[in-house]
Amino acid sequence: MSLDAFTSVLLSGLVLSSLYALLASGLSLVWTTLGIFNFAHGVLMAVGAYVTWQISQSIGETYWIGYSIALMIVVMVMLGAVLEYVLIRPFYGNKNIVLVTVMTTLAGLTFLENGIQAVWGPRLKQLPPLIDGNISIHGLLTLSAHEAVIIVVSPLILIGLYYFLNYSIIGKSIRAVGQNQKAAKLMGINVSRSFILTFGLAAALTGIAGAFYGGLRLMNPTMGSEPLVKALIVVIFGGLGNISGTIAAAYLIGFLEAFLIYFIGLYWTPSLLFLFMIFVLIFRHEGLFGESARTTT
Amino acid sequence: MSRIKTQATVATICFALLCFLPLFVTDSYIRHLMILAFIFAVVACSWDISLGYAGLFNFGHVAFFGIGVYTTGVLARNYGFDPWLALPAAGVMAGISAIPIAIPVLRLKGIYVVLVTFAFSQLCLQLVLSQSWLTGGSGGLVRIPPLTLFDYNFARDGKFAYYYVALVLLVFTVIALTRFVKTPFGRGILALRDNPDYAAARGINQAAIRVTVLVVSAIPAGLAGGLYCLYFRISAPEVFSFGTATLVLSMLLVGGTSTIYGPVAAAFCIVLFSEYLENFPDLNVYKHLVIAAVIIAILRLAPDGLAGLAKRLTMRLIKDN
Amino acid sequence: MTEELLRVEGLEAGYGAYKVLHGVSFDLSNGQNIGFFGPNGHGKTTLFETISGLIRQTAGKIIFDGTDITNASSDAIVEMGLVHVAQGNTLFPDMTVMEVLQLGAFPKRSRQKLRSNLDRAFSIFPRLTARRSSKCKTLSGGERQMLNLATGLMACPRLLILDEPTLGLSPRLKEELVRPISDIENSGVSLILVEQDLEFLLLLVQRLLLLNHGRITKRIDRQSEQVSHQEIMEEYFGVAVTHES
Repeated sequence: MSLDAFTSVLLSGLVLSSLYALLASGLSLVWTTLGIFNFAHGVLMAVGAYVTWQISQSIGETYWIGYSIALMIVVMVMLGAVLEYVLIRPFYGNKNIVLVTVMTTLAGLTFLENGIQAVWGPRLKQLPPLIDGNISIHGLLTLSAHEAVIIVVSPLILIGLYYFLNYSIIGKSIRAVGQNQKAAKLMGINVSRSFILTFGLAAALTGIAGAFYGGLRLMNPTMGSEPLVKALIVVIFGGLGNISGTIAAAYLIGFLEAFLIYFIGLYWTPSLLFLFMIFVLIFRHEGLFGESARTTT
Repeated sequence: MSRIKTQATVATICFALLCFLPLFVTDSYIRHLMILAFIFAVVACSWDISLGYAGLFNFGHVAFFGIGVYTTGVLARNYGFDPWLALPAAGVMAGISAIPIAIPVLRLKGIYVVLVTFAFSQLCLQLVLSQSWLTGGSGGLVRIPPLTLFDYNFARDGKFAYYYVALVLLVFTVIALTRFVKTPFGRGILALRDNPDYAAARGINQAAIRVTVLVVSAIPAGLAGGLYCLYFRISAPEVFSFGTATLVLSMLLVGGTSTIYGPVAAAFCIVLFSEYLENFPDLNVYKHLVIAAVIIAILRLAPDGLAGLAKRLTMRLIKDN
Repeated sequence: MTEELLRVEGLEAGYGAYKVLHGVSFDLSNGQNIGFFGPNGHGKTTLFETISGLIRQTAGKIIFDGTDITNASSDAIVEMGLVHVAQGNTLFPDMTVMEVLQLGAFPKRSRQKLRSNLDRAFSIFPRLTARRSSKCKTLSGGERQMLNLATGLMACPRLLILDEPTLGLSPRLKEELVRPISDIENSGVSLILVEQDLEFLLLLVQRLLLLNHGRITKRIDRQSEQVSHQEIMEEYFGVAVTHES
């Protein structure tokens, strides 16, 4: 493998990993805290991208896209809260909650996907890059400035998330709710507020991934479905309910995918990833990095 | 006792009505809708065996349907099999493919079963997409030969013959599955779901039950897939998609799990309702929005599905009289 | 010091159609302690989960410090200073002792006092100091009970409900808990103590209530009545035996 090809594989792996990590950490957070799997998580990426596009059109394209992204985050937090309220909240205490919420979140996915189609139409759109131009390092590798921003900013966001969850009292209360709801209630933690916050946070992280992605490729309502499936693989590799494991797995899978595509081609790569995923589930369902995991329901 | 009797009477009346329907309804579009409903009803009620009765969060059931679609498609189109042979082969193939999926399911529970079965269906999709020499890749297989009987071509009679083939498949599936769950083995399945420790203590073999459940539920789904393929005369990768899974899962949950009849009834309601919405051209893009909203509303208002609702209503009627 | 802190009137509650509490009434003055005892499965835990807002009552009233908290949410109740340390609470398996203690001070009224409360918790339970950065799931049963108590204290409680703090502990460990609990009493916190072990209970409280079949069937005031240990034991087992026959 030539140095050139190697660096380009490395770079695309980094960009992919960053996006997966943003998406997967939200998915994992919702799983850990609420104990449900949100199949509407991927479409939130598309919603984030379209909302950013809409805001940038409204405030005028002369403004830097970052402002639109900031406003989009606010919208996404609210949307996340609404989704929790409509799709999940009515079913707490239902003995089939895992299954019923698989269905309601799938319905939410259908709703949002077609909602995007209804609101923004089928015409393809793209977001402007966060920063124009290209970056060349010693003539060894060239990448667009937008990709560089993704590679740098995503880990910063994830580090922020990690610190929030582990060092702030609100973050700790979210983790507490995920580990023992009853004990959390007895400590005076408002469990339903934690749920809403978690969903909002996850939606915001995904929305950011969507806005990044929208500056990279053309947007369409189903742009989130493939990344969702990848995020799912990542969450499994990292171990459900383990944020740092999830983040590590995102980078591992991103690179693995980039290398697999390079060596065995685009066609076999997804099949191999799913096969890996099944094996991980069978032999180590607490994930590659997990020490213990939630096994009930 | 009387409830079972009522159920049987209602089922017989419905069956008789459905038998005579094509004689009065000559509109091939209505027949087409009924065929669709029959096929999806088979997939939904066979899913009920693993998801409802056995309580396995099997999310890959649609993959068995897809395997059926492609088995029939590949055999009839690429290898020149008689469609009448390619159809049962779909059931066999789906049943066989349920065995490898049973292995991880044996070791896992809860959400992990959802994930591993979901991964299995995605794996099927990816294999279909990548092996285009066999499956036609993302374009799928087209111009699959239809069912024929001597010189009678099933594809050219205004959906008359396909209607009966699909109806027969549905009726046989419903009868077979309701019988199956009433056998001692079927009761073992329920015991294992409701009280795994007790069932284990009574010597019920968990592994044997789970494998059998998956195989039994996969066969009708595979057959439905085979028929779907011969009826539409295409095999397209969309059968493995989220959309198909959502559609069938909604039939199952809206109908009510562990009832067999519920998902069948819901399959009719959902197919007809979604077609009814087609009558409003203005609604076009909003159609799926409406369906999604209705599904959430039903799950919210009737957590046990239509079957649970019907049960509550009949209970009330009995009480009132 | 005789103002009323908690009053429970005709409380009824249960799980779905299954009623566990059939009209429980009692009250508690500021600075007072009461002990609850009675056979398992007769509603003790249900009673306290209803008071702390985990279960909704079907009838009756709960008044804490002059405020009606009958329909208040569990977090609002903790915020007012009524803290319930649950029976056999496993806490948060993947959190460290320090993190759990910090979360104990989640209510706004206690956040200011985080530092001093931490010092107090570690001085009452010196054993926890060494384990401050261990995860809950690695703690022994005794350490877990200590952490439970300490966490309850972190919330600056005015009334602390301790539901069987000695559950599953060896006699030696039980003895170790007597001093910290009386320390808590002496610091001016009112206490409701639930115990199976009568001797343990008699060491710590003045008033005893026997909860039987979801009703309070016996009230014993140790200051006015000279009740011997023996008599209470007879009362307790007598009732239990009648029930079984």
